Amino acid sequence: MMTEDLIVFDHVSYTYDDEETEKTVYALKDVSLTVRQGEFVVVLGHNGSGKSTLAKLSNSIFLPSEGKVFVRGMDTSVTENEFPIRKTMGVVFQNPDNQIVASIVEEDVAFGPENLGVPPKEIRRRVDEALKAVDMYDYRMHETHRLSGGQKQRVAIAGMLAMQPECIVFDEPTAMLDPKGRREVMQIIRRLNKEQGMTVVFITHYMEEAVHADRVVIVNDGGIAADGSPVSVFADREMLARCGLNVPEIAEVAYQLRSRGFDVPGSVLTEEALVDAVLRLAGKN
Amino acid sequence: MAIIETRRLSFGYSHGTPFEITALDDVSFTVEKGETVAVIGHTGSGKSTLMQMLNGLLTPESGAVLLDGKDIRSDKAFTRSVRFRVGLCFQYPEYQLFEETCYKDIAFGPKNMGLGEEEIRRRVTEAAAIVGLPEALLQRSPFELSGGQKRRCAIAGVIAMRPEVLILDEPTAGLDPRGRDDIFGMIRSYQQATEAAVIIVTHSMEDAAMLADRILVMNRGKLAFNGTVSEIFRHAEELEAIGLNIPASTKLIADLRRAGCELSPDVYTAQAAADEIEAYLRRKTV
Repeated sequence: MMTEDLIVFDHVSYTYDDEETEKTVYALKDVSLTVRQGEFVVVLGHNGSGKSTLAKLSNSIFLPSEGKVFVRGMDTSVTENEFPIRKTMGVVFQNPDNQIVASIVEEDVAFGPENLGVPPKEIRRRVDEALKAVDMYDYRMHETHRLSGGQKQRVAIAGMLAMQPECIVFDEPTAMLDPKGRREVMQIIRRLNKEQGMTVVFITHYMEEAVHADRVVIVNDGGIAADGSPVSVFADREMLARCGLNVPEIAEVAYQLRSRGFDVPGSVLTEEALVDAVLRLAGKN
Repeated sequence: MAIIETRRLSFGYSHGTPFEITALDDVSFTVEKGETVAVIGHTGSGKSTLMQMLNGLLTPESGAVLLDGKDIRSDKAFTRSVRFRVGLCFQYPEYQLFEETCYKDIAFGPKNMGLGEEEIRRRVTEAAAIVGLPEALLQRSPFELSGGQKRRCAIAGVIAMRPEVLILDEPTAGLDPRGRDDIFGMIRSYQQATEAAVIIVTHSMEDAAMLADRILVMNRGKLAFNGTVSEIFRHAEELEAIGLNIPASTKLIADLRRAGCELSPDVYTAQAAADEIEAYLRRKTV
């Protein structure tokens, strides 16, 4: 159904001029992709593959050099659409320090809706709700510069939620966080998708973060190298190697066991599933 | 003899305020010449404070740091020489690039050491080669480089001082697997060329297992563990309890052991996990 298509990339290319060689370089070349409402799409690719360009094209920070990007049917290259598109699509970036604008947590979260002209009472309600959604309500009066990286990133997400977008694009939101911060942020994002039905486009190079997605898109050399369920994408080891990516570690153990003749299904990507499979083979359950 | 030794280091921040914290609490260890040591701990465990003490940027409240057997605070001239002999590369070092050209940026350290033009040139060329920065880029502004190239340039600036101890704080933060392998390759080639000791601060147990001879685990300002990679990973549960991520393979084996499978806990790669499980299943099904 047309109305379910939230983001549509229609033969999109994005080019820039390399000053050194005076040549035109394609960051993305002829990419077509559709993200449907409610989906959790993980976009994987190594540094320089074009995955961040994809994020910036999706809410009209970048405009396509060729082709069109549509958000809820709105063409991103039409100036009048810019404002409604940015209300529909939120983007959370890698560096939490670059996204915090206020010195107190709740003021920071209120910044977005204030700029949208939301009435004060409604702002109060949205800020409280957003902070609760990211488990930062108890910190609402804290100073932002004293928060940990993971907490700052959750405040940045709350700031996005308070603007009530339909979709959030996360551009490597965990890359600068420690393991604990990474877990916290992943948990919140997964919950937003599962419980609130938020459409999520999640850009990362951590393979482990992709195993719970509905869909995995692999970007390489400015093009789409694979697009499918985590199970099908991670089964294609040659393609992943070509794209400079590793198989998630658990999937690698499962693959090795399978190739040595043990009956471990290809759908095993998580630790729980592999523990079950091994116990079954050992006759323990 | 140990190239670096710390004796009962202690340090705190914000004394006399509600934000007072003990960053380091009685930390003692040694690092040998040519050794690679990984320092692991979650945010706020004291790793960065410890690193800044090793080249005298911070002065311990009690205890001492010894370089080649001599207290780095023993006299001013020695303290100054320690800054060059113990090279410290901070997290996201690319944010510290400041010169007009990459060449000048890499030359900044050697210049401050008082070396001659000719020697500086040799150092810069050598360091650029180790980090794989093409000669042609040296006359460009560091701000025109890609993210990966910037980081190489910043690391080259530390290597150009030819430190006997090279300390890198999260050198692979924000990099993909390929970028990480490149950085590790550089560290190894510097070490082979100079026999320097390398201390690498990381959150990643996988990285530590891949690169280090020995691991120091920091927790709440204390040195919680000090041992070889396999010795450390035997404490999987304690490591998880203090908020560290153990490799997925190690965790898998630990969970299978809990479920009653007789497996060796000494596993931290996918390959080793598969070997161990295969051997176990063959024993079971004979």
